[in-house]
Amino acid sequence: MTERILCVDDMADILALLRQLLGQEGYEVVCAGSGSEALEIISSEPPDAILLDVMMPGIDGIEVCRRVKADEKLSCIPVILLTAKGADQDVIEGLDAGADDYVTKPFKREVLAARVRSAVRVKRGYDTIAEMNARLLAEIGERKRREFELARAHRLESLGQLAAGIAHEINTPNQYVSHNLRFLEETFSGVEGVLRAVGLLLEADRNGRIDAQHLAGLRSTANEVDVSYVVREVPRAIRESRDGLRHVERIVRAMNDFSGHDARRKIQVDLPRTIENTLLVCRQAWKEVAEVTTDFDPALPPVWCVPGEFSELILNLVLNAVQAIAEAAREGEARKGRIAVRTRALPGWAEIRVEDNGTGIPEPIRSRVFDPFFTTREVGQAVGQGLTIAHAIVVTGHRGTIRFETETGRGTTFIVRLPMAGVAAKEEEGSLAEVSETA
Amino acid sequence: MSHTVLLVDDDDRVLNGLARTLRGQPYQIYTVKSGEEAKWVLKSQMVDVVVTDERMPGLSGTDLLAWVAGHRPEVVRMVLTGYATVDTAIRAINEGGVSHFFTKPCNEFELSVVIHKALEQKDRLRREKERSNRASDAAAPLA
Repeated sequence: MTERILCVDDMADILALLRQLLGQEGYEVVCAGSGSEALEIISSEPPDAILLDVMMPGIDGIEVCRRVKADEKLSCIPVILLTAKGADQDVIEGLDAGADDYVTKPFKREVLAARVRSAVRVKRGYDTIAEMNARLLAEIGERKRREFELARAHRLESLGQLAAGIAHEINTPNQYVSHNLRFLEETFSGVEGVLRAVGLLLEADRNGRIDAQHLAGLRSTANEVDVSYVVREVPRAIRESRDGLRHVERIVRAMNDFSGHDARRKIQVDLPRTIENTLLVCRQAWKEVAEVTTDFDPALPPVWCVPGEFSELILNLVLNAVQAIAEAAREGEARKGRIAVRTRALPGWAEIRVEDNGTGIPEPIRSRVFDPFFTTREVGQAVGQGLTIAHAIVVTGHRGTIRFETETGRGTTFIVRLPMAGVAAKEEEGSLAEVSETA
Repeated sequence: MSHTVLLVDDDDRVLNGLARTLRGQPYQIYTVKSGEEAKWVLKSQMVDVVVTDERMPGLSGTDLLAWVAGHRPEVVRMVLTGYATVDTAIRAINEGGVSHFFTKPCNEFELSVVIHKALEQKDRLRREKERSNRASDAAAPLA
């Protein structure tokens, strides 16, 4: 590629000389007879270097130089000033205006050519760096986009798991409520016969003519009904059905709370209620492997946070605990899985602890658990985003801190702290996450 | 000959509902709340059919049925689950040799018909076996 050199001078013979000289050096030469013409060319088709006469009527060389260097897109173009011999003031002013080099007139051809070669070298370096920069930015953008896609995939994946669990939670009561209705229907058809026979008997009594036939009718219908069974089971069937419907109702409400909020907005959130709802929504994920207990500090007031994100944080920490316990069970640990979720009011902070008695986090990976896509699970099982999302929610989203205490073979406790006064109170930027270990 | 059906589910409301709807059926019903309890019953009692939930704390339904297939192969095995995945269905069929896979909520009529047919089939097999035993017993003295 041929470099384009812009030569600016109000003297036509100097321009002609420069055109000839630089043309011989192999450059493409563009000429401008004034400062304003030069600025036009520079902005419409930026050259690779500018040879600029200082003394010109109208916009002089110093001013042209100042404007080029003030423009972020053009400032990388090297400017070589052409100054009159002995005009030191021009040199000082020109360099202060941002010029890269100067040549005094009359100039030696070789010196000028060498100066231009050096300027063009600098420009080439600039171009290379700018190109690399653009490529890096594009790559970073692409990576961010991919991370975002994967995070979304993970979110969908955990929602899919939830959907399966919720189907189970709703189908089970459905099952026994419908069985109980069927039972009540059948029982009633037996009881109905008795009621009719009783009705006939009472009517006969009113007429003063009860005979053996009426009693036989009542006896035969009553024999169809196992009274002690009916008296015992009907109230139970009704009570259990009501329990079932209440459970479905609670699940549906919890799901609404879990996903129904304005996704981004911070409001004052009752943490215990949100935690209970999240535990209920994901019950199927933990009920086989662990017993979950909660312990809420009654002194903890509502906390400013995004309710949907807080639910997701708890979900991810609980699912992580479930995995650690399931892992321990696979490794032959016989103890019963336990997960405890606690809240505590600290001065200025709300603390949430999610404690498990699973495998603990092995020493070598302790520093990596919050890394995107880091996972100890088999490839393809799940993208390792749970704790990364938890970290992002706490640190980036809420200016809180998340850390863990872990002991191999004994379990892990994740400790989240959210600022009580909301985001405005905390000005610290960047990751506040720390990792502490108790060995 | 009286039959026995063993129902396994960790939710006793499910067991109660099943027991109530199957009460009129001509077989004895046992209900237990875990796979471990089910194993204990199967070791000590004659059982013709097992209907088990899949997801339970401790032994899962599939694990229980795999055990039954190994130790009490004559027992007819069925699954009744709240959420069926292809994976659990395949495991139940391959490892547990299940004859039927129900999902909750299941129709009580369908469930009782399937159990009834399974029991009929068992009786027929038993009668045929007895007949062939008698036939070979009868043939023996001639040999």
